[in-house]
Amino acid sequence: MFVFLFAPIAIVVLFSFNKTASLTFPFHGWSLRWYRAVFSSPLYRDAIVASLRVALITVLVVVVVGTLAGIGVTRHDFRGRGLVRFFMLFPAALPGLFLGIALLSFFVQTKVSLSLWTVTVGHLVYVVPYFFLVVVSRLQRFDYLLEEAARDLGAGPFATFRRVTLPLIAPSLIAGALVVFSLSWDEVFITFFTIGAQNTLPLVIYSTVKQSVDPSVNAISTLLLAGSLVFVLSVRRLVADLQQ
Amino acid sequence: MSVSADRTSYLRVESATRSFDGVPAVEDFELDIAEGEFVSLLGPSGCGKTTLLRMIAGFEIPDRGRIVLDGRDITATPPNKRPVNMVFQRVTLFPHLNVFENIAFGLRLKRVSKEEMQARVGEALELVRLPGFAERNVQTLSGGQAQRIALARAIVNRPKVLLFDEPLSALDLQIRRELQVELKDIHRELQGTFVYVTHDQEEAMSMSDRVVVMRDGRIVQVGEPVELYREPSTLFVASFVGNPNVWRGTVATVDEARTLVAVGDRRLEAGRCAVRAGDDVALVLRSEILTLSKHAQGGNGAAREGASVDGVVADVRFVGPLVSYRVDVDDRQLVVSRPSQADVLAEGERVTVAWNPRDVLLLPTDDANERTP
Repeated sequence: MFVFLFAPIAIVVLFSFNKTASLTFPFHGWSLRWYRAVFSSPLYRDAIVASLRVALITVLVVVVVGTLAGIGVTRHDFRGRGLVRFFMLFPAALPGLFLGIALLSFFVQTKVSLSLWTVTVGHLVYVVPYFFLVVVSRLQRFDYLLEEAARDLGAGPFATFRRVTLPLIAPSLIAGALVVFSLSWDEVFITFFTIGAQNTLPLVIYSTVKQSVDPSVNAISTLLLAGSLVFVLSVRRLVADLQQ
Repeated sequence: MSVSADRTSYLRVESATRSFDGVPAVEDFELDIAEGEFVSLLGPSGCGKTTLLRMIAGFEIPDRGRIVLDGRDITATPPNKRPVNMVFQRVTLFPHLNVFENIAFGLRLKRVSKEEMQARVGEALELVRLPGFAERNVQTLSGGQAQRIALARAIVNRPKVLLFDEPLSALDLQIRRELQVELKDIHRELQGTFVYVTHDQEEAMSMSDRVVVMRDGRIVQVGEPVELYREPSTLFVASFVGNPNVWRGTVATVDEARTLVAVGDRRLEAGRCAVRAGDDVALVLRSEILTLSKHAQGGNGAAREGASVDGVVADVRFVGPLVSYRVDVDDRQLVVSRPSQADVLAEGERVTVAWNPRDVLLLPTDDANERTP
């Protein structure tokens, strides 16, 4: 079974360094020409910038909204608390395909022209539950006595949050943000339906593969693999720090 | 420390009442605490002592009543604006800050200058006997060290009142005893006002100027430790501050000199008491007022009246400075303690247990069936 996992990875990585344009054996020798092709292509460059923009804005908004909602739901017993919790988690139950089509028809109905902004809105809806779950689970095992101790020592509600609560939940917020970033970074379904003129990286790769046999796809895939390896390792470090 | 009726009130709790879901935790509570006084709130769990402390700290707001500190009504002042600080039962040091930053937490909020902060944190660490701990990670501290740092973190703010919510209850016995002694020393050095919640009578009695015995949200008795021990107003207090032998009986006769109490077919002697014949009473015989002697050979059986009873040694326990005897007296028991230097009696030995009638307490049994230690 692992053959199907590792053999394709090995082939992609190997051929990203291939001298010639062939995608099949025999391997003709080493070169970095496909990496140069990736970095010199305005198509890829623009796509990377677009994907980064969408992912970063998504992370920023989700961290603020998700944290506030998480605190509200875990700390305060208000009417409609269950409803808030439900709405924050509901999108996770929707198939991406459905969410994409629904958003598209909504944007068409409301005459919002499709752009990276509509993509960002789509990503926001899609990733919110994942971040919310991370924050809520951290807040539920937060020792509220620490906040009482801070109040007792003279900290008002805001100072208590800034000096005690936030530093203690920060590792979870960062871990949640990394998850959100990676979800947004290679999201395809919702992006496909809500995209305007400017494509994101996954869509560019997809259309490149469809149109021609371009070995630069191997190079960009290898870069993505390296990026996500770094990402996974840093999340593991964070989780380890959290548990110590 | 003098404890007189005209003591000026520094911290005043005025008919404070606080209920949770309709159940009163503290009811019509009245208490005056003088500046520099060490007062303990003592009682079983659920007696409202912690709720009272949290009202003084500002974490609970009384439904009725007032809390006045140094002439200022602080009933509704939020905790961060009250000049009081608390040492909690559990460790509440901030795990993301080192020892220095934990202690300096309150000073930073007050924007104290760097030099003053250094000096005051250093002083506080000296006071809790942990100099040189400033750069430590709080997660490496032992339980006792953590509570000392928590104390330093409170003291450094120079609060008008220091509050303690059973700060030693999670610690080992030996460390607890050590810290009790130190806490009393620290109180003496600071001359501060301490309010200390505990369910450990020995802790309350050994450290405090005054002890407030609480039950069901109300005061049962307030007094200096010696006063509570010698003159408990109820069996509940006597049991809480002593762990005495308690025999129930009925007053048989009262006269100028003595009182006789019928317990089973015995008539036991106590001093002159404010009771009437026919009253149900609890005869309280503390283990240290009892004397033990070998039963005289050839005696004419057990005396049935007077200030002594005959029995058999059932168990001998050697507890350091004292030897504790359990003596079976027919179907009842008495615990008697004697200094270790005295001859040790053997199990099975026939003995006479005697007392000075004046040392016996007779207390109403009203609340007796609710709690018997």
